[in-house]
Amino acid sequence: MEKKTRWLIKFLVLVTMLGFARFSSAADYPTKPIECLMPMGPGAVSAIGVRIITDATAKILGKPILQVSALGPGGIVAARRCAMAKPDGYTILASNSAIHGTALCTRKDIGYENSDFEFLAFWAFQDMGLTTRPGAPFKTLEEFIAYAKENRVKAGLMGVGTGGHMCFELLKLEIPGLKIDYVPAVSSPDMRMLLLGDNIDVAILMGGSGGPTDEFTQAIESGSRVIAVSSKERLKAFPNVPSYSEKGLNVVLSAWTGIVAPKGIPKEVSEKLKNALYKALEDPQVIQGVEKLGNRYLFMKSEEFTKYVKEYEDLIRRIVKEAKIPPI
Amino acid sequence: MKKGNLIFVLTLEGLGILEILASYRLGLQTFTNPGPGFFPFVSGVLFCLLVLPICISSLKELGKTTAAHKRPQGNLKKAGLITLSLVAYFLFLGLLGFLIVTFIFLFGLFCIERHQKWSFNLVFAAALVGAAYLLFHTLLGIEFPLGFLEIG
Amino acid sequence: MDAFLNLLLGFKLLLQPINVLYCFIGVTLGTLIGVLPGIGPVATLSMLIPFTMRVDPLTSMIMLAGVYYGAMYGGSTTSILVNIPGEAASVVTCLDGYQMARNGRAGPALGMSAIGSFIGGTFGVIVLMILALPLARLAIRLGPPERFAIVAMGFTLVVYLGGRSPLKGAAMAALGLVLSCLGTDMVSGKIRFVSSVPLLYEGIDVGAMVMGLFGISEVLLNMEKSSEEREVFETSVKNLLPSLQDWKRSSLPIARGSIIGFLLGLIPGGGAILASFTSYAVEKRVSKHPEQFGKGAIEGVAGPETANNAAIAGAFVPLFSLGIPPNVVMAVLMASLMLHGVAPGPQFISRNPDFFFGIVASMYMGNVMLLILNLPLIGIWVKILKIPYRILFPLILLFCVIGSYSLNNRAFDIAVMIAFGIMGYIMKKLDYPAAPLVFAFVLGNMFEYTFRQTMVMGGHDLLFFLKRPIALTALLISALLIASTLFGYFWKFRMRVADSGILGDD
Repeated sequence: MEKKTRWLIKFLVLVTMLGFARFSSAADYPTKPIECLMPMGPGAVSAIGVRIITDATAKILGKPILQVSALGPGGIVAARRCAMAKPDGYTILASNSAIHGTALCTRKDIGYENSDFEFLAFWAFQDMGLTTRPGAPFKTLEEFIAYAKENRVKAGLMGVGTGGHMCFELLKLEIPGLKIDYVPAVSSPDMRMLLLGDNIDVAILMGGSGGPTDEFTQAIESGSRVIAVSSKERLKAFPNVPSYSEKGLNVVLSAWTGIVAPKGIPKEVSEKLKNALYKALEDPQVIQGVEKLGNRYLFMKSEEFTKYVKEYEDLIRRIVKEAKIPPI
Repeated sequence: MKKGNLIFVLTLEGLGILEILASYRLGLQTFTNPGPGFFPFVSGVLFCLLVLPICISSLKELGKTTAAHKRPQGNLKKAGLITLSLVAYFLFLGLLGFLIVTFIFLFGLFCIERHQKWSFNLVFAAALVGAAYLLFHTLLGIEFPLGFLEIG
Repeated sequence: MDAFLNLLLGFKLLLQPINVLYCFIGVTLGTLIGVLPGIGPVATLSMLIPFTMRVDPLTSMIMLAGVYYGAMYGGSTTSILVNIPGEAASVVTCLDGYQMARNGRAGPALGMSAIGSFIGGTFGVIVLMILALPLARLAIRLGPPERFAIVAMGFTLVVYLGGRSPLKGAAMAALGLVLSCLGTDMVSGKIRFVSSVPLLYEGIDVGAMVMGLFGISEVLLNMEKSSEEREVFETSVKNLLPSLQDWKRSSLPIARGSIIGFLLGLIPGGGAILASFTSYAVEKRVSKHPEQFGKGAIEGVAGPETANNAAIAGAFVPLFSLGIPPNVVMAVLMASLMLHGVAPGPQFISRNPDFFFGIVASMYMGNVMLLILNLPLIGIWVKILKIPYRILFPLILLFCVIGSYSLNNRAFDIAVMIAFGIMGYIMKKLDYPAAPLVFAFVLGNMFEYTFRQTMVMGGHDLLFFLKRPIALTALLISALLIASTLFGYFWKFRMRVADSGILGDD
């Protein structure tokens, strides 16, 4: 073969290989779909909320964001996958307070730390409301506390090491002498059935955004009472429900959700991703969708989010230590 | 067949015993306040007890000399090949992506039976992969793995 | 009657073109995903939700509900034709439906399945319409002790799912219990036995298990035979519809299946799987010729198929009258309602009678559409049996592989399916029944957590059951059933002292 032809062939092979290697610079990000790891199945209500956000973000970035389920208790499987993923901006995680707080502090050998993540954007709180069964002999927080000191109260629990568990434990730390037995519930609908059927006396429900679809509203309509809420101030949607704080109890603990990514993403890529997320989270349609699903929308950008996570982790560690919760 | 039965049953019994031990380690606590290991422990014990008579009678059968009561074994090779193809499909799906792996898989399966020319198999496999892609991905929205070549 | 007037109003709302169209799309799509193994309503529904945001809540709900109950029509198709259940609820249909197909009666099997589904679905909708609120009050009274007792009763029926050897059936059921423990303990959060395999933290997926145990194993078994030895299913065109004899035999099973199915669908944690298995076991128990089950008894198809459709209607009761979804699919439906700002809850029906009756009306119409859709399809399905196996089996494997992948959008479930395929193959060759394994696997978790819930409620005292009359009654019935079954076997055992009789005929 002629020398020139051989060089031409080598050149073409090189170009084809480069084409396959798909070099992409930060300026072109994203060049392919982004994976969003989900700690819940595709049918979960929370998954739908995430989808609203990722669809909006995907529109801004110009490439689809695919939801990949990585199921596991407390979200630890999804979190570990994210922590170990390549920090190239093509893997994000629909994270929550369990992953960075309750599961992190109550389980051993989960394979990640909060320092393995870059916290991109925080999007909602899910407040915890102490809800009584219809016909319970206590109608206010004070009455409940008095009742629980005398009688054993059956409280519904979604599992050891969950936000609700922490809330109850924190309450027990603040008010010694409360006699609470935990009745396990396997899902949120199960919890609500237990409450309605008078099988448990109290439960912690998540909600607070108001509207007919809120768990608090539905419980109230069934005859239950929400006697306290875990946000710092009273909720706008439920002005008659006191917060623990205003009663002098240092119980400020809400579940939350946010989007995170593995640490180490190149700055340009990370900025693009963050800006797209910020824009999506400021879109009124997204806000409406998120709130309709029962979340209390609150938007925090990366720096604030990172600071909040540190506070939250410290709080949970304190509760676990003081309440002597054994590791799972 | 008798030997097969014996191996199977002994394996089951062995796994059952392992399971009982593992559940014991999880923590049994009491009947009215069961720990995470209680239910697995009881299930495991129940399982081992139920399999035991089958074990014993299999051992007894082995000792006996029976009349020729053998079911024809048939072509185990093909079944084995199919199993291997399935395993290969699973192993390579993430690496090569849905379209390539499924194409090779179907082509291989058609060739195992060897009734048509391999060129026909090639085309038919390609057509099927295309149809499957349209049905499952385009219509039903299932996201398939893309593989390192990111085709899909 | 109030309900009747409201129903007319519902029909008026329903008969707008867009609602009819969405209903049709929903049930057709539902039939499709029902036929395809592995692909289930959950993933499809969550994918459809963005589309439904463009239309009003009633229309969207009509379509989504249609997908759900439509899927229950199609699920039996592959069970009957190729002995491969598309999902766990279709497993029992394999037991007799496939045998009917082998006897050249695939048409009647498919036909009775469709008709049973129609009757079950329609019955369920009628009860939903009239008795939603009182039934909801009943559902609330079923707390952990009651649900534990109901599951216990279910376990007494497990033996009726087995084949000739009750001991092997019971052993497989126990294995199902053991397998159900793999994963995370719901109560303590501890990971049981699989801490080094994160992919199993949520347990074994029942869809992958079922597709492997019944589907892959069937293909492997068939591949052993050479192409001449494989059976050719004879089905003449005349025999496409059920005979008069079939109707006579199926009428009571359908009636029982409707009631059993609806009630089990109401219970949170119940659902179509429990309904179909229970119906099969009940039919076998009350049948005058139980030995025919497993060989092509049409009662074994009619009852379960009716039950699983009635269960879906039953599942709507807690959703609409309490705002509590009894299973994952209903939770997705509820999420779509929430996105539209409609909130199912205790006042839902009284506040939105037009919405409720609009849906009810659409379910009547949907069931009719499905019957009209599915009956002619029987002719087409039956032709599929004529495809030479060398072309059919790659298609089957393709659908199984894609189906198992689609369960959780990951390849691992394919491996689970293959593993259970090999196990199922061995089990089939050694004559160990797989249905009891699946049933016990499905019930295992619920059995455990309802018991632990009850214990905490009752202060860890078994005497607590004395305070719950419904639960106590159910438990006593279960104990009696077990006792009578065991007594029956011991009696037979004594009759056959000479042989190794307890293993059945060999």
